[in-house]
Amino acid sequence: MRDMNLIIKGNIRKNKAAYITVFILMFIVSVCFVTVLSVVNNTKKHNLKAMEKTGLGDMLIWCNEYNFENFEEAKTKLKNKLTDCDAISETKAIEVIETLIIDINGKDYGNTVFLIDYKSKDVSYEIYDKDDNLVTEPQLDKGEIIVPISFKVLFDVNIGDTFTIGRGDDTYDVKIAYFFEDPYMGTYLMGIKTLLISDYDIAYIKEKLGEHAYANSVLYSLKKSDSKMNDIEFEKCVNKDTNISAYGWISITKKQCNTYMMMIVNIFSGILIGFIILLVVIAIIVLGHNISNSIEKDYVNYGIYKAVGLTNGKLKLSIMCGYILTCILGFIAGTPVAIPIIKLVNKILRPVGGTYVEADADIGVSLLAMLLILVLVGIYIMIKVARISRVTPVMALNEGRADVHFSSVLRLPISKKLLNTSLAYRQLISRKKQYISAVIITALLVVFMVLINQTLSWMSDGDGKWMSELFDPVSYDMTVTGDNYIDLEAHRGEIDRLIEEYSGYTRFHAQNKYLLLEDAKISCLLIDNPEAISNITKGRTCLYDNEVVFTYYLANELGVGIGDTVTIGEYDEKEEYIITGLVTGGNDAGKSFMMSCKGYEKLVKDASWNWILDYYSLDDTKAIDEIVDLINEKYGKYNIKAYKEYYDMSNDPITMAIDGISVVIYVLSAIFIIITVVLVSGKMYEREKKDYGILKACGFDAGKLRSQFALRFMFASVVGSLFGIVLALIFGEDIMSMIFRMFGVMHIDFSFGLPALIIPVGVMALMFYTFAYLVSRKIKKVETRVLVVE
Amino acid sequence: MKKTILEAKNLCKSFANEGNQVHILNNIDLKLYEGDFTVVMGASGSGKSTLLYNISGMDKPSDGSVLFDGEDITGLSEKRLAKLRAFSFGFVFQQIHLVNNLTLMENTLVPGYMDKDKTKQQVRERADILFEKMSLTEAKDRLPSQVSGGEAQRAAIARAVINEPAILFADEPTGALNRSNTGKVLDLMSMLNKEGQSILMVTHDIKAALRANRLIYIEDGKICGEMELKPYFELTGFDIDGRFKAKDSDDKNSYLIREKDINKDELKDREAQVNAWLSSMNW
Repeated sequence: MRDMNLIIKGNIRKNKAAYITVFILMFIVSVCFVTVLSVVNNTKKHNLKAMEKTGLGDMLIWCNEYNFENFEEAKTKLKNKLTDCDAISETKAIEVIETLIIDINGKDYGNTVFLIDYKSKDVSYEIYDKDDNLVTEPQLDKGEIIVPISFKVLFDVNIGDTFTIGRGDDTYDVKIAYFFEDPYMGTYLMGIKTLLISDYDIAYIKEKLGEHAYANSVLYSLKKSDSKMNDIEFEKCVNKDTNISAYGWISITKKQCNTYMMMIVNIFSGILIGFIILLVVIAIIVLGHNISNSIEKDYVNYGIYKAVGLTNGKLKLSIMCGYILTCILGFIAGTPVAIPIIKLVNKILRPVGGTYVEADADIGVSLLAMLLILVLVGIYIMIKVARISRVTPVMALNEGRADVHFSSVLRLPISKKLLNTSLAYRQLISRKKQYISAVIITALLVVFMVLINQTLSWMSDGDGKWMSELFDPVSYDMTVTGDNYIDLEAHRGEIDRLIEEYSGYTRFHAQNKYLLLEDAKISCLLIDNPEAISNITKGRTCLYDNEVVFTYYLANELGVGIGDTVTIGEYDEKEEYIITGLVTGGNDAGKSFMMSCKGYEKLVKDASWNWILDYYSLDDTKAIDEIVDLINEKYGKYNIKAYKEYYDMSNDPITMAIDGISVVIYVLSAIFIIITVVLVSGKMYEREKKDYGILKACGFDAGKLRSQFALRFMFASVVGSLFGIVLALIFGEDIMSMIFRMFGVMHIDFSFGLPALIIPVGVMALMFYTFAYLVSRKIKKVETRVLVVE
Repeated sequence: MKKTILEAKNLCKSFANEGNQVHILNNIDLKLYEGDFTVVMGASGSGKSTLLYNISGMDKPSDGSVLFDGEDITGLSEKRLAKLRAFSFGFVFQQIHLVNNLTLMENTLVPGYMDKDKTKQQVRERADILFEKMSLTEAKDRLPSQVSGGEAQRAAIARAVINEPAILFADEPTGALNRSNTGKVLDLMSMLNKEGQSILMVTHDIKAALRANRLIYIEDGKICGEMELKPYFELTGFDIDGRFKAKDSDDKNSYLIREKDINKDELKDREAQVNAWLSSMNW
């Protein structure tokens, strides 16, 4: 054992730079892995714990007074139905007020909010002050309100800011007093929000807003503790037994909420874990390079060791132990560094995810990941050190060197005009093996860069239309909304004519409604002009009254496809429909389907359509701003407002997070490129020292030689980038689909734009050239005297 | 009156070794003349190679100056020195220093291509002529690892003279070669000298020294003696039809002058003369 210790120490002493590199790489991998895995696991654990704490159970159904003639009686009936259900252990109800946010931070907003008494005994939320400290006994004055933490990014508001709730002219101003954690609907991605307010205000709002504040009852049921059903099975079972969803206007399961709550964390951790795995692969490639380099450098030593009787096994083990030890040290050093980063990431994700997640390092999972990496590294080292067995003492003492013989079809003549470039190219192709690691590493990094660039360019395209493409199965250019359908109907003709003066148009109406699909409450888009469903990538739209269009996600989830028949229900009615097409779209986490108004009328015979939102698709959008301004100016007095289909994505947290991830990817890529260049060039410098001397004696100055040196890396990076682009083109769509599946988008048309492909090539070439040029400063020190035999 | 092309004045080179100054060159004054084949001789460690590298700008002297074209090259920037090495000085080393991933022809073309005043065609033509003279035409597309030491060293000489340098510096160019290749390389040097190429060669081989028309003896970093000889190419049997083609050569393709074509008596006399001089220098 003592001899092994000595060999390990000797190896480390001689190859300090290689061991330091491995340490740095594993340190980076450790920091990234511990951070990402901890954030994901902490969020997962915290959200489930927080859900338990609220006491809202496994299935929530919102019942609106609007849908019942005698709401009190209906509530009792529904509650009894649920209580009698075998799958349910307990059912409770909370009284809430449903209204809208109509003006917040100077912007019009129309999303639904539920107001709950903040002192309600039926539900328990954690409340925080502006410094994110838990407030155990919050006190609300009149007009004060507690909002989810996601309001910070949703509306750019903070504690002390005011906003207006209500409907039409019946409004009420409220001031934000605290933030709270809503583990069911708190995420930035969910439009409907719960707000906490005093019982005094609830009563006042009921009175002030009158019919513009609907009474709702949230019925929430708990699964039996011994139940083995998952949430979907539970939901189906309850619906089958009670048909309860038919009476609620929204029903949602704990699992669905958790999917939404985890979505952002899952998407970004998915991208980052993918990138970290790539870093591990790169680290292993660099490690392999280090090992073969150090074996070459130590050829004589291994010969000597063998000559004095050391076995191949011991020599291999000594190398493996040295590197494994370095990896372990890198991992250990990285873990404490990850803790402040976890805190920072949590702080950034808090208003997006909506929950106050702990910032502890999840050592258990991280340790498992690290162990897995160590096993991989160990196996790889064993493969790399196998060549030691082939070294005989005599071979080693001769340093195992061979003459350079090379012939290559890639060989091009040396050009006078491009002398530096052609020399650099020749040097590259004559020692191709040296650059393999640089090529592979570039290829892998470029795949990620291309994907992230395409995502960013896709997001920044067309005023953020990607968002609507992602979530809406319909595409449109503008909307006109009225406070009530009577005013809108009265002016619709005039508005149509006004638009027609500027451009041809198609107008349609659409409305989301939760319908029972195979006993589960699923969001359905009812549309009067099914031709407007634009994102159909398979099949055709639902033209007839017995047809529906599904999202890929939903079709996949139910195991159905085009031509299959499904049963859809509303209240006590049920009808069969045929699936005619599949669309992209992540609305309701991808769990949605579409049918025509005629189709709905087949199910609900007396359906009435009082549209208060008109969608317009323009043939020519040049004058859209003018049209919108004109409508607002002319019909504003009737509370009719026009909106351009526009998403301001500049401050959107998803865009910002993708931007952030791209920065992380580029920075880590730069670090890995530096490491690769340093390692490869170190080996090359020793081998080529004589060539630099020769070329200097021929009249090349250091600048030209350094530029040749850097050009070689640039060429290698271009070759790697091309491989990367090919890989991205082949697998990119699948990788992105995998990521967007988390959004509920099963199929995306992710065609790569030229800039997304070109930019990484340029960036990689520039980085490789610059770093190689900087690293090559050693060439300056090479004197022609290296050629002199003293 | 011969024209001076390079002049070293008070050239000194010293190294610090464990606190002591070791003087390799001591106030050397030396002039090189146009068209001369100058050979520097001396025992090992006498400072002859150091003199060559300091006088040629490949190393920086500790003191003194080296004038070339009226300019002191000891203070030139790296860029200017590179230019000097590209177009004014040529170098041949003891070891065969060719870039091993370039063919012999490419090794020769690379410095030629650096001359912006010449077209690619002109450089190629000059390289072809040199390769023909050096009997390298068949080997021109081979890599250094695929040819003999003599061929490689001849290619190194071709590379050194591709830009028609003012001076060709050669440091023991035959030191790593066998007897047959040594002869070929020396024949080539003589041939170039006959064409007007000025040469400064360092050697401790008397056979190589015989090629010079000027011999310098150096000891302990000082020039101890100097002797003049008739140019080698003026020996009977050397100059054949103006193209250096050996008369009665067995090798019909060879353009190299060979020792065996030289008048044996004249050669013997020359060797005796040099030996006597070297003996007087305590060689």
